[in-house]
Amino acid sequence: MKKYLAKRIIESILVIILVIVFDFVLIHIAPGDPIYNLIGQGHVTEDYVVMIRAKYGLDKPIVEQLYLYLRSILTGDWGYSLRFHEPAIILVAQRLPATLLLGFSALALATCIGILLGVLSSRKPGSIIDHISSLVSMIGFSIPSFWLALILLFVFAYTLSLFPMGGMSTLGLDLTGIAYALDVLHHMFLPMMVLTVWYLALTTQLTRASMIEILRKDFIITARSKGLSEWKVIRKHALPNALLPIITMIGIYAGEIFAGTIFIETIFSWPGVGRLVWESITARDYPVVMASLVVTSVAVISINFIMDLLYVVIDPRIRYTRGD
Amino acid sequence: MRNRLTVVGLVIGASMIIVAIIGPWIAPYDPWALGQEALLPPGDHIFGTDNLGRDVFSRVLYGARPSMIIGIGSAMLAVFMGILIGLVSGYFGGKLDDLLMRITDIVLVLPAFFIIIILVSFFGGSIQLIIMILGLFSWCGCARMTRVMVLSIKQSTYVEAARAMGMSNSGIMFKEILPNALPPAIVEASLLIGRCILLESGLSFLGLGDPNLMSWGSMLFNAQAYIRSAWWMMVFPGLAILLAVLAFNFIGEGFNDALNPRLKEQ
Repeated sequence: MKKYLAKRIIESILVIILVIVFDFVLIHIAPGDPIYNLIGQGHVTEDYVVMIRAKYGLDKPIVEQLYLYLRSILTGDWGYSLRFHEPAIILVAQRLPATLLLGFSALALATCIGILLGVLSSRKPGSIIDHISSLVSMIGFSIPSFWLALILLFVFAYTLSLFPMGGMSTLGLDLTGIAYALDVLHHMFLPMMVLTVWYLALTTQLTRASMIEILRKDFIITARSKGLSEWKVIRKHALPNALLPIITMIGIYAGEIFAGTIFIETIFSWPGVGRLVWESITARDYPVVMASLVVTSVAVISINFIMDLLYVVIDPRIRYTRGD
Repeated sequence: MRNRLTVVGLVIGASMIIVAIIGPWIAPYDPWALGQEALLPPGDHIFGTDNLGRDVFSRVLYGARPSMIIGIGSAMLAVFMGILIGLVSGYFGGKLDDLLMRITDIVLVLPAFFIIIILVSFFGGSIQLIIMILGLFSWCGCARMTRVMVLSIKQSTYVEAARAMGMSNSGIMFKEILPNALPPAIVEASLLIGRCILLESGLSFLGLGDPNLMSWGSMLFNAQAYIRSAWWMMVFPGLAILLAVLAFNFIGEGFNDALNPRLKEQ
């Protein structure tokens, strides 16, 4: 087991490094000279351009730039934002909690409700409830998140004024404690709904399919014949077995959830990493783009790693021994 | 019920494709003609007009083409690559298999959407580029699935027989194994079309993508500024996207039910 863990950690680190290199290459093959973001379009002397290039290390050969970049990443120096003139890492760190809050809340909500609905559906396959929930799930899969966001914004925020149009908290009000938390929740509701929808559909269908498979198995008949109530059977025997594919899915789709935040944060003006990435890409603010990409990749890889570990905890049949 | 849904999906999907092809001929108005802002019913314009007075219904019809081309095109590219890689990986095994699966794992872990956005935003949004990029990030599922199928089919008697008859490797791969490994790939293909349509409209929504094209996503991009005054600009293109993706998802589910009888209800 320990060997497996060590191997996985090394693999993860290698992948992260690979991603960093890939991002670096990506950004440097882009057309256009980042110099002009720094200098602007005005008239400048040749000397000034040369000086700026040297100052930002843009005159060195690419490979050397890459090496310097890797070295600085590992020592914690992630460059300065070209737009804000602040360290890139500070910008990302400021916005990360907002995205994590949104993302994890949506994930948690979607998983809980999804499992519940999935279990309910699986108990009566083919019934009206099952068909309705399947249909709703399909719609949830197919709906474009940005469109749903705009619609919710229009109906609930603009027309009905039930929720704020955007932002994370009400400007100007200096709330603390519970009042602040409630205010944030109020702002978070709509964006969280949009983020939840897709994953909810996935979880419901997955749980349903999984449960239907499992409820047919012999050990369930055994449990039932022991006289256990149906809910006990589901909770203690069926559900833990059904959870495995759901956990896999969390790992696989963690990346997509991050991707979804670009739209949602932009539309709802939520101050998170997604919006930062988008704004930085349009502004060609390379250090921030790199920093956000690295952080996002690390997050996704870590989530995958944790999910893999959870496997062993949940399913004692899986053992990462020498055989693997 | 599921069968009915699949049929619905096929009907809608087919109509979308037909609309994509004949759209320009059945549109009531020229989608580029300017005018004044208008409401929906009553009206000459079923879906109203946008801020520049262009008929929304005609624009939605015209918009089917780029959305379908990019969606189906990139999905097909991804499926093609995926099946090929899965086939080769599963059949030859060994180091090649290891290498290809590593590459698959890495591509899966990359922040695909961010990278796609970066690429399209830096290199411009031509149709070919978008199809290529979307395809390049979507082949992993197909590859894995095909590989798994190939691994099990490899052991079958008829493959052994083919080898005994002296069939070449590529002959075996493409004539014996591939036809039997296709079913899951077909399911994945339909679902992929849906996802690619969503991805493309997402890109257009952000303003990337070809500005000359009138894809549904770019209509939503334009509609953003007018949510309050002209909500119909936003509602109908989005509805079109939803219907298209839904249709292909139904079709995929239908294939799934047909080809995977295990999961059918008792």
